Amino acid sequence: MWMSANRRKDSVKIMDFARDPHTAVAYSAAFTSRNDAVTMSVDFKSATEKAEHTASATTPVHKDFWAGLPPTLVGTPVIVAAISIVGVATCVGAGLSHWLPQQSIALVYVLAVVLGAVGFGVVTGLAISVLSFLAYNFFFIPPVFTFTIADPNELFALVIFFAVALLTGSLAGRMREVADAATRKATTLQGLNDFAGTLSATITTPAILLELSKQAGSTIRGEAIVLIADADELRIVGAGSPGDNFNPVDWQAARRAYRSAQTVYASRPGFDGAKYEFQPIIGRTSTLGVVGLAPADGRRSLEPDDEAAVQTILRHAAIALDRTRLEQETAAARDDAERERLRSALLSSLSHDLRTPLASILGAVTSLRELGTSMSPETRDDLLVAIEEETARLSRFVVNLLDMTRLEVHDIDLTRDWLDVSDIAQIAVSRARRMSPNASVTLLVSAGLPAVRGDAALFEHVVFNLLDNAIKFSGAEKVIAVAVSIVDDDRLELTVSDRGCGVPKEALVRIFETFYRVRDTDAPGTGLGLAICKRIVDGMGGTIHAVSPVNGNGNGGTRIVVRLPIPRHAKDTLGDEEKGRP
Amino acid sequence: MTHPIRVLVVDDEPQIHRFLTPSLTVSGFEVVTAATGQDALRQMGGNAVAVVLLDLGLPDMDGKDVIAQIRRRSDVPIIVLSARDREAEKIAALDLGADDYVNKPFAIGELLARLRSVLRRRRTTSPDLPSVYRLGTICIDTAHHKVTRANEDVHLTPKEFDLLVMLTRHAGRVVTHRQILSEVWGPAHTGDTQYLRVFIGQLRQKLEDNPAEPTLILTEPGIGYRSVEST
Repeated sequence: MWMSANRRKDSVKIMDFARDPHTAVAYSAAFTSRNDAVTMSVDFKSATEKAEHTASATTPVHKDFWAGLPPTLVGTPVIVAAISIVGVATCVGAGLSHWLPQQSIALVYVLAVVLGAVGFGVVTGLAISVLSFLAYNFFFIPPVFTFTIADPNELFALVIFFAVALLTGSLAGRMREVADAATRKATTLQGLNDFAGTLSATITTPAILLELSKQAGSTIRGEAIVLIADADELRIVGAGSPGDNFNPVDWQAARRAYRSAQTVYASRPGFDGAKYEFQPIIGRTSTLGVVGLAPADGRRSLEPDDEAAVQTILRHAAIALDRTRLEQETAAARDDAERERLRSALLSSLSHDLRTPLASILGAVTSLRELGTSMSPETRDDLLVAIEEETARLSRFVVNLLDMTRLEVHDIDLTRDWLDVSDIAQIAVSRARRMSPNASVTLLVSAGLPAVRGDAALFEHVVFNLLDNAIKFSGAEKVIAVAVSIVDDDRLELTVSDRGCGVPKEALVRIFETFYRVRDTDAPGTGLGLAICKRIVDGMGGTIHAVSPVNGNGNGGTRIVVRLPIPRHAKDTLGDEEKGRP
Repeated sequence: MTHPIRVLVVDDEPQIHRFLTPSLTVSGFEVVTAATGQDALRQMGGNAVAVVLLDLGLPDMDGKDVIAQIRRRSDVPIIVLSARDREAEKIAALDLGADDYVNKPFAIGELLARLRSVLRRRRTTSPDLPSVYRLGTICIDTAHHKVTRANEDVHLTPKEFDLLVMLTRHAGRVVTHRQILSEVWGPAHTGDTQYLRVFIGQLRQKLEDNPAEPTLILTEPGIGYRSVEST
């Protein structure tokens, strides 16, 4: 007795008993597999009646029924399960045969068929039917322990039994399979639902790709590898250890799927042994990449349901990827607009801040030349002073701009040199006093300050800029205090304090932004000075911030605090040769 | 001049006032200053101002609004001080009724020349338009629809004639493309600057000694045209 697991044959004969001269009835049974159905038929030939009876049961099978089943299910385990179940049924039947009439034993076998079919599916159910039929005949229908049937009435009962067994077996098996399919579908659907939910909360491309590979892998119960298109070239992303599994054949198939935007069933027979089949991820305007799918346990193609689920997953992923791409494009456009705004702010700031001193200088010079003879000496002198002041203002602005450009264009190292902050503060204070003789600038320096790393010329520019700002914004009473000291034992602090109108709380951080200017301020300025200071101090590894009002002073005032790190090996005061450039 | 001409200088930059005030004073003007638009409008109300010098970039309001508000009450000459690259701003100011503009930065001589020009025009402007205009050696007789150049007849088409009369009536002063097109061709044609360019070219061919280097009808790039004042 054997059963073939070879699913490629259309018809499998299970058994064919040669006519026994003593046998009243001969029969043969066969499985016939057509495109979409499995038919089990048993032919009976009664030697005496010369009549032929055929009992057959046909069960529809999904088109890819055989392809979908793992080989193990149609092989040994089916027959083992069938034999075991029929064996148990036979034992139970034998046990009950003392109390029950022989015909009732058939019901035990019917029960076995139903249980087997429910537990293991149609094929097992059908196998149990046949085995039960044989076992019932062999063990219980007289003459026992032969396949012959003495009483023609028994033959009729046996035929009925066989038909019932086949029908119940196939029905119960079908039920089992439908239930299994429904469970699988529900699981897939739940997975898809979860996936859609996860995607909608996922905003970065790598996270989406990771989710995609995870979900596709779990859906096909195997391995999924995502390859994303990057400048028209595919690149592996996502989970797994694809380096081990990917061979040139896989790459070739992946690229073909990407270029044609169609599934390439590279793992199916006829290809050069690729491990994966590849499905394209098709976005709104282009193919975004491909997914390589390799089902586990050696199957070489996907089940149709899984393939449909994977398609859905890919569609979801493509939408999510398109979405993030659009978001990135929007963000880039926003950045461009912001840069454009900055550029136009720079232009308008430039045009105003360059043009106003130029207009003053040109106006004053031409006035002196054309009308000077009619003017009083005092007026002439005032125009000359105006020219001098405006030239200085223009020069400061140009220096600021050049500094800014230098800082933006070259990423210059601002920590090369050693510098003495108190020395530099002194130079800047002297310069500020010369520029604004009517301001009172005091300088307080703690004794024994260590040197710090920085660019002396640029730092002098920082201190002078802070002083210039303080003088500009301190109103009529131009009292400015500069102090240099050590804080927290590891930082050098330079503060510039004024008693001016102060800075509104909401502007304390923003005043260090490029082109930011406090509203309602009537002092001239470009919104560049503090931004440049911050850039320089940042470059020296330090920090800069503003405090206003100073010391809770009701009169307002602003204090700019610059802190520079003290290198560990520079805690000693400077030797002369190490001093920063003057 | 027995009565100094009062000029209102509106600019928020003190440095501009610093040289304008003494220069205008010694040139025979009486200077009043304003740093904001509101201040300017207040000064206009209280003083008999003969001419306004107006910077368009004011801290409190748009300089163009100042022009519009002044024009509602007065036809005092207004000269706009503006940056060279702000064509749109200047055109808008001129269309709103400003009389002329001076690019910043400017030499004092240029400003004084413009000031004198707008003031002279105001004095000569009377309800009865003159029937004869002069433009260099060109004589335009509007009554007889006749143009002569160095006493020789010049044939002009009716549109060329209208265009020439329009420019000469505003001699010394810039007129915008829009103003010319609107007056000569009608309000529906204010966008046809290419058309205007062709007619100006024809006029120059007929009137200028060297049409490639015009001396009578000057181009104000991006703004309009200015015909020279006959001295």
